Amino acid sequence: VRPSRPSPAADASFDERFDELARLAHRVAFRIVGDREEAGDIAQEALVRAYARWPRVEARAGGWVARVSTNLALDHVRRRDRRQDRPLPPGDDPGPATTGAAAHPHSGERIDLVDALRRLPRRQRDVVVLRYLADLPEAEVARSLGCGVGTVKSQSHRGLAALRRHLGPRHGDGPGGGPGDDGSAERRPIVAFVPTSPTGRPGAP
Amino acid sequence: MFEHLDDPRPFMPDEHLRTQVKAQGRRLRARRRAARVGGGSLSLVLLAAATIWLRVPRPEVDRFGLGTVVQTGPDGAPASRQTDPERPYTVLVAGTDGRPGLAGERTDVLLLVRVDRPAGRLRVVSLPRDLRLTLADGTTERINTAWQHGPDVLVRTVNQAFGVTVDHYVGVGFDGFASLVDAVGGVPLSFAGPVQDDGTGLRVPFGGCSILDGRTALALARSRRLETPGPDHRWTPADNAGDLGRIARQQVIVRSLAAQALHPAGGPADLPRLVASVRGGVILDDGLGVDELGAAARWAGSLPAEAIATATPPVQRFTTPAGAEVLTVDGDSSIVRRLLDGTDAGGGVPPGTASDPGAEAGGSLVRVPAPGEPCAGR
Repeated sequence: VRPSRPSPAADASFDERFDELARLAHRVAFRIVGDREEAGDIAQEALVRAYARWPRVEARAGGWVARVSTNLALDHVRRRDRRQDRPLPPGDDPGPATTGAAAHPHSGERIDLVDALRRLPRRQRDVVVLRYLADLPEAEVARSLGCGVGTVKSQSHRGLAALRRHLGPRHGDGPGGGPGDDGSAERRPIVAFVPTSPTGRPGAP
Repeated sequence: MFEHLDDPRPFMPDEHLRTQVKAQGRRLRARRRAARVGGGSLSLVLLAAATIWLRVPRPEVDRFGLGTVVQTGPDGAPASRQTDPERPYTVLVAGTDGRPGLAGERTDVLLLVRVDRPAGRLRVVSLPRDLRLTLADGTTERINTAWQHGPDVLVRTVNQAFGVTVDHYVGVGFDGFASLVDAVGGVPLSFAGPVQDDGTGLRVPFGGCSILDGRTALALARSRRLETPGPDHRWTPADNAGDLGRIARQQVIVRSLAAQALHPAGGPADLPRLVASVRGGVILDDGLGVDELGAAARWAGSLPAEAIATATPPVQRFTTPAGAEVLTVDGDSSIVRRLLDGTDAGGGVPPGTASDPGAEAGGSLVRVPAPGEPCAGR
């Protein structure tokens, strides 16, 4: 039976890494939801879960927190989309224009990104998320997924190729279909920032 | 690559956030411990049902063509199933409350069982029925609805969600569970006093030993709110143990049932009746011989308790926009595969320990009758 609380040493190691992990969780969530407050809530939830099982998470905390934060953020966006799809009584809701990703720069790109991530097979999504959304080094991605660096390389290659496939043809077709997607003027084609080589370093094109 | 999507203002975690996180984390840890005990022992009920059924030689079964279901390995490449019984293989066991194709039918229990005969180990990972994930047909739903679309959708859902290749499939109907109990002549249980549960329709009017029929045994196994007569002669909750109490009672039922199945009331002459009662309540895949499965069950029965590991993946509760209370796998969903492979012991409930919390939590109301204890038939 697992100890009910971390030892004082484990507790101290959580404290030590708290700031780093909180920033990581917030960054990943923000890239998806595009809202500072919402990303803060998501980061907090990811950290709560990490602390609840810290002895098991500790060794691969970065990858673990990043993935939980991503999944929470994707769930959050899904719920938000669904709420916005429902007709609201007049004057009841401030609407998507003032809340959520649509109120922020690059909203169209976020919608596309979320869409594309959802379409990826689980394994590829994990790798792409950790490697490019959380900006973790390959070795750490491999460690937190319990696979080899070679698998990370091949899966991120496939993942990026799949991202390009999903995102490529849609461009020029207009917005990604999200309600309140009014950001087309500032959209950059998402293909432009997906490197064409699997070894491509993350960075702006 | 996604730097331009970043928040221009830096996020500053502070002391207040850390305090909050740790307080919530401690509460979450307590809740998870309670949930973890749950899955393991529900699985025992189903395992017992399957094991009892398997003692029957050459029953007629419905077949499901698992061989035609396309599955992929953890690396995304097509995976072929492993059908050599002498090598480790994985069985998906689905406990259902009816027949597929009928509206509203669900899987109440879903187990992944790794049968590792070379290593002499059995690992059971139970998937909570309220687990919400993307099903193989593309919808996001509770996993217990996947089976409605057929065993193939269920298998592909498990394969896609957890990266586990399902080598064999065993479906057991809960109708079958009740008829199993009836077929072995009922399950004798000793009660501290009268009990009832309006929620499941359970009514045991007398204390002492009673032989429960299938329907009543099922009502007891499902009861979360057992009531006993209070000091004012009104029905009052027997305990606040909820799931823990239920789990403890399920284990008592299983122990008594297992003993009963080994020695059915009518002796070996009862076996044909047993076969008749469960026929149609069991579905096997096309690659699984009844002999093979029977051999595996006998092998499993011979294993020492410490060679059998049961586990439930860590889960997180959340409420869907529609208001449904559901669960998600907490963290990496590959935990299911790792629990099955034995490369992650997290969340495992060692056999024997699961009953301990329940014993003090209301399980004492019901016990396996002592040898020779006189029992009232029902």
